[in-house]
Amino acid sequence: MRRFFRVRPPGYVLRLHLAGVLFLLPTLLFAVVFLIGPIAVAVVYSFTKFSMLSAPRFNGGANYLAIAQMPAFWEALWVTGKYIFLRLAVIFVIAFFMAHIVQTRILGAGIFQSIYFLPYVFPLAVTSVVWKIFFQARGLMESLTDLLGIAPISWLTDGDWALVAILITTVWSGVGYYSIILLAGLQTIPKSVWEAAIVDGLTAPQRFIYVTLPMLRPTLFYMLVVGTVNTIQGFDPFLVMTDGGPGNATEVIGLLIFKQGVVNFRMGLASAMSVIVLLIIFALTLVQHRLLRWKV
Amino acid sequence: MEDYDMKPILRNAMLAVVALGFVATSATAQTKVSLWHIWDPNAAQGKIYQEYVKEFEAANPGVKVEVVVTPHKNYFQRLAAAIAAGEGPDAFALTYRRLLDFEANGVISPIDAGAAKSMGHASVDALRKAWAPGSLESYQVGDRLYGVPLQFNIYAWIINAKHFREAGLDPVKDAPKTWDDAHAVAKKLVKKDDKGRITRQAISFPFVASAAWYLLEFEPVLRELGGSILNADQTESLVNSEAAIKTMETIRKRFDLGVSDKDIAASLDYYREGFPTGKFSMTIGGNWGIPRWVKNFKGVVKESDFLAIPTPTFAGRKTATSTTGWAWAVFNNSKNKSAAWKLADFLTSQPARHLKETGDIIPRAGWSESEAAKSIPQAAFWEDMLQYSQPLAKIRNYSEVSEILKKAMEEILLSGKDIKATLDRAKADIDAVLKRG
Repeated sequence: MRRFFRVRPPGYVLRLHLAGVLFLLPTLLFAVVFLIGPIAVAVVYSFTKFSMLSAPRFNGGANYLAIAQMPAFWEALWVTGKYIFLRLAVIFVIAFFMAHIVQTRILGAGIFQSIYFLPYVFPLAVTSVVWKIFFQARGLMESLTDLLGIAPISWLTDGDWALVAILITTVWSGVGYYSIILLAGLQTIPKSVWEAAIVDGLTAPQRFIYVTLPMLRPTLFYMLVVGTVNTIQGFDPFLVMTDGGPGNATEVIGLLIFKQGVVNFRMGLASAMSVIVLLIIFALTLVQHRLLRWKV
Repeated sequence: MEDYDMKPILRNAMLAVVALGFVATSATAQTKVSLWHIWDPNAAQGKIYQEYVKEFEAANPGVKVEVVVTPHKNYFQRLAAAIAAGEGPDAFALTYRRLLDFEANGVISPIDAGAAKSMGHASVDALRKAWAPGSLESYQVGDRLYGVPLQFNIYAWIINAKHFREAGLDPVKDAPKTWDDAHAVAKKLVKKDDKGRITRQAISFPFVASAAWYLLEFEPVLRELGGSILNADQTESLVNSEAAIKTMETIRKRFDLGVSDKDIAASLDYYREGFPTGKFSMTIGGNWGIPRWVKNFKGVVKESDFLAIPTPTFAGRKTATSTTGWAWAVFNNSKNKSAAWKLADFLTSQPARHLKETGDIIPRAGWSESEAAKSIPQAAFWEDMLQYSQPLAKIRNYSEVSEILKKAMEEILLSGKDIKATLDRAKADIDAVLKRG
């Protein structure tokens, strides 16, 4: 019997592969030029002394050695870690509550959804200026604490409170976005699963722990990874509200890298810091991935 | 049919084309000079530069000036990015505090005989003589000069005379001479509400301003006590010396005495607008201050509301104060160096007009003798202060060193941290920066 369907012209497979490569080429080029390229350049710069005012000069591992001995770098990492943990924890709790309100389809849920998202639309730099005005002496927050009979708080001039003030600002700005993500995750959970859990006699907290959280695993992973990266990169509120102060109390790693590279013209040192942060983010992502791999 | 020799016709046609092209090119050929600075085109300084540029172009028909204005906050970032891309401006405003870093990287062009000639002088020495004694030193590295000053500021203390009178004090007789006087007077000037909160500070602190303002508070007091930020060869920091500790104790005293409120002082735009609008009574201020405030807050304040006085001293010591300034520099890779220097010279050639319009001093020789100079408030006082002054923080790695000091001062003044321990840490950080070079 003739094999009608198996006859291929000569070079067919090669042409097929070539076509595949051609289809991929624009994306590959984009990735190389705009994603991998800058990272590779930053890695190269991290081994140079580069002031931007003159050509980079190879200096071996001097930048990495300087970073290892630089207290400001480790302090910035500590402040960043503290801030990421607090921000994501607070955002998760509030965003879950907000998503739950919208999901229960109570009256005006749609309006709530729009209102939640509104702060995210404003540029964070603008939001930061507005909140700075609220937090500064004789501002809105002082009026509120006065009303509550609480002594005035040095929101922006006390190291601990300054981080809280920035946290309030960025949670207010970002929580709407994360609530929408969570809502989308919640809506992927089939109703029948919850109904089965109710029939099995699970209480509301048990349903949350044993049904909702495991089913939300991919959404939570996305939130953690994107939230961590965004939080590390987003230093605008720190620049606008405190400029990293008082002292180094709110100097996060993104702000330190910005100052070293762009203000102090130490682009080599800043590149080395960026490479270290990149590795940290990579490691954190792996850990988060591992942590969220529990069985449903 | 006749044979024509086409060669002469073709040759003439080609010559005509070349000639036409040459004429056309000559008619449109212009030297483009890019000029970068930081002054808002809607404010006095920015406006006058627009006028100067128009006048320069009219006087030099072959030259077109392209002005790029970037706010101070982003200016050096943009400048460095342009230089890194090989697109630095021909001429640009440069503060002497950044000059050492720019010079070390070979970015700026020294004023040589050619540059002096472009500026209308027979030699560099002749050019030096056209400027007030001492005014060019800030722009010099070794024997080489790298810029011509476009602004020269002298700092001292300025008091709100109106507040003094309201408190029953005579602004002239009771103006503080020593730090003890300043603190005693401050207690009379401060105002508080019924809850004990300060509503008007006696002295403030420039928390929201750049690190240079922190150093304007710190360095003169330190110098008066015989200290300095770095040692003579700029290889080691001396910011944890006894003099530096006493300096910080003196600055912190305004908060310890309850005559200043750190939270109010750290408010947005407070420092810039607070003094001229009467929110605090005594401040560090420049010669430009009084005329500018009178102009900017027309109807709110008048010249007699303010009085410039020497920075308070410790008993038995002489006052110390700082000068700051900016100059026009020329990019080392500029293809239009001659035109750029000519422009720099033109922009600084009318000190009397500049002083009258902007309140800024261009320290050409004899500037203080001009009618315009005599018309600025307390002209003689500011000129007298020159003998007690030094350029503020002319140090290598200024940006990093000043930022470390700013942070240390914030920790001491805002967070109440121990002075000695904080300055020890600042010294270690600055030494590490100097070691990195």
